[in-house]
Amino acid sequence: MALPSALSNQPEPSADSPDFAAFFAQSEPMLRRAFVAQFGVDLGREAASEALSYGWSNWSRVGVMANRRGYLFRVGQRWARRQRNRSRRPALGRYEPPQLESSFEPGLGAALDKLSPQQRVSVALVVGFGYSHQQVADMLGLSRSSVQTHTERAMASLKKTLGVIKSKEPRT
Amino acid sequence: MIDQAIRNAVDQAAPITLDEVLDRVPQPSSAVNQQRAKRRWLPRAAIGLTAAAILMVVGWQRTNPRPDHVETAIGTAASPAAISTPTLADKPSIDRKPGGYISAQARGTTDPLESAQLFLDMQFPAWSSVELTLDETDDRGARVRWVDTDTGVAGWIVLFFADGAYAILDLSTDGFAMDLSRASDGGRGFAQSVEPVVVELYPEVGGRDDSDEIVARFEIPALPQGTDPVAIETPPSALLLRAFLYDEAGTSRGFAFVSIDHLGWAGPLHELIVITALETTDDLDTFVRAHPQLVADHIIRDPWLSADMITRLTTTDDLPVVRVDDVPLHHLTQIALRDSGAEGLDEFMAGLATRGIVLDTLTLPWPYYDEAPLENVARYIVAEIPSPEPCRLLGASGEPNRAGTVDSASTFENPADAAALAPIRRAESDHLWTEFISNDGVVLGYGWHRSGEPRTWLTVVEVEQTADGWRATNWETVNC
Repeated sequence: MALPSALSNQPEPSADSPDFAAFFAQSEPMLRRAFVAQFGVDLGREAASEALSYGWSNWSRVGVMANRRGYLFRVGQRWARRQRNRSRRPALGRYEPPQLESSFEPGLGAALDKLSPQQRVSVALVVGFGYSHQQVADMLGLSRSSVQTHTERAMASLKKTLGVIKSKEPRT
Repeated sequence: MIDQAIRNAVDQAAPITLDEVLDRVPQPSSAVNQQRAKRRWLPRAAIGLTAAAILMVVGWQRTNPRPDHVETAIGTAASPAAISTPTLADKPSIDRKPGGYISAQARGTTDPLESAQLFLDMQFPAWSSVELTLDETDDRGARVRWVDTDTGVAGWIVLFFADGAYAILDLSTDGFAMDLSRASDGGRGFAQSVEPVVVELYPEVGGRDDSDEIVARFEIPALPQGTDPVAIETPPSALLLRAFLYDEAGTSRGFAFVSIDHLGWAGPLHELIVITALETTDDLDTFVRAHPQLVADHIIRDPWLSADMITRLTTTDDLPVVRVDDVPLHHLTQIALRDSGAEGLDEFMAGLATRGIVLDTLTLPWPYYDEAPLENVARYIVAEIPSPEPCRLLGASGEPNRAGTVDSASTFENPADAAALAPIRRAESDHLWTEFISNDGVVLGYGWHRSGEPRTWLTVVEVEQTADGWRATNWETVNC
């Protein structure tokens, strides 16, 4: 696979770089979606980019890992938490979860905010994009049953919250 | 329709291009940093690899662990004996924190002052305007002095250097010390202060229990009234707590970072830590849970600690560090054993060794009991340990003596520990004890008594010195 010309300007190019391009194509969507679900659109996308960038820089080592995606998820997660922690002031107010608005369901953003980060990521990937419980579990470093539980509880919470919201709206 | 709404919400972020990713790749670090990394890590990596090779050949041998009684980063249970009475002149060492260690949720930068500031901003924003002065730096880390110029309150921030950046190791206020241990029903510990303070504990920011819920609130009288036990009623999931100090008027008098990662309260005799380079701890967790007769408690501390941080935060020198990495690799599990002499422990340890790398074993010198520490009130020179029978000779009625042999093969550095920690039926409460020694100064045993209504209890424990240390052999107790 041909690599972008930008690769030639990067330090210490790896002999395994074609593998990275394949890995990138396969994993970028899932990582991006997971980070966006956890940290919001802006920070989440940055975290995904940062994680993948780390993966490229260290591909000779990361590329041979059994769970490359899960590893890079931790990389991005840690990076995002650092960024988030630097900007937050807990004494001035609690941390505000990321607002994910949906033009399809106005109440979804607030409903997602009520979920724990792992519930948010699980439900987003499993329900929203059809990833398997095992795929999500591998990336999050959880058991498959944990992901299933997170997803089910998240769905129950979403339905409850959105149901309440809908019930207050006049029928058209 | 929820699935479609979720897709719509999450896919607001545009796909990331490969060029975009490559543009983020940082430039090579400076020659200085590279040199520093090499200086610090190449020798350690060589030692680590050598040690790993030895471990692979020899395997883990329980008969040749570190000394039983070791002051290490995680081993010293909180007790008055373990807490140094705080003074206004204490200056913490830039080294592994005795009595607990802090995982660095907040990694800093290559600048210690900037790192300290970042940490304050995150964990203690109300104190983020204190004046920071670099007191000392060395290969291990840095010590920063903080001073609140408005009130004169001051303290220390100790940072360690790992993974190419400074991270928090300890944060304290002058004249205040606290050490906590984790328990299934909460936490216990001791605190001292040179002035009376009200202490409020909160979970760390960004940790396992990232909430603003108060964990505990208690008052501490000023020294020299002594060490005050403190208790946390509900076990927090957080391993680190933020302590805020106030005077009687409610004015802030300082702050501290407190680790609650000991497993000592349940009375285990040993703690050990295990790491594994596997990407899951499921197997290790299952294995540990399958041995309740041996394991009192265990904590998976941080599933993504880097080798660098583990080496910095523990006393191990034999971690097979093969590379310096910004990204954690290792799960770190801390296990408290019930009895170091229990049957089946060798097999258990061998099983652990196949599931990770056993870093350290150590004895807790003072496992927690519900009673206060013993106080030596008398010493008698005797030919042999007396029976508590004299109690009955006083004419008091009571239950017959109960006696037995101590089953545990645990040994201790000093005889008092052997007696105090022996798994025996003992007279509880009042914690006075008597030491019995032979005429040539050899400790023979100890006696407890409890004066109370309606009975007085007496317990004696016989100890002996072995090649491995002191152990309890026989015990006898009576009430009258």
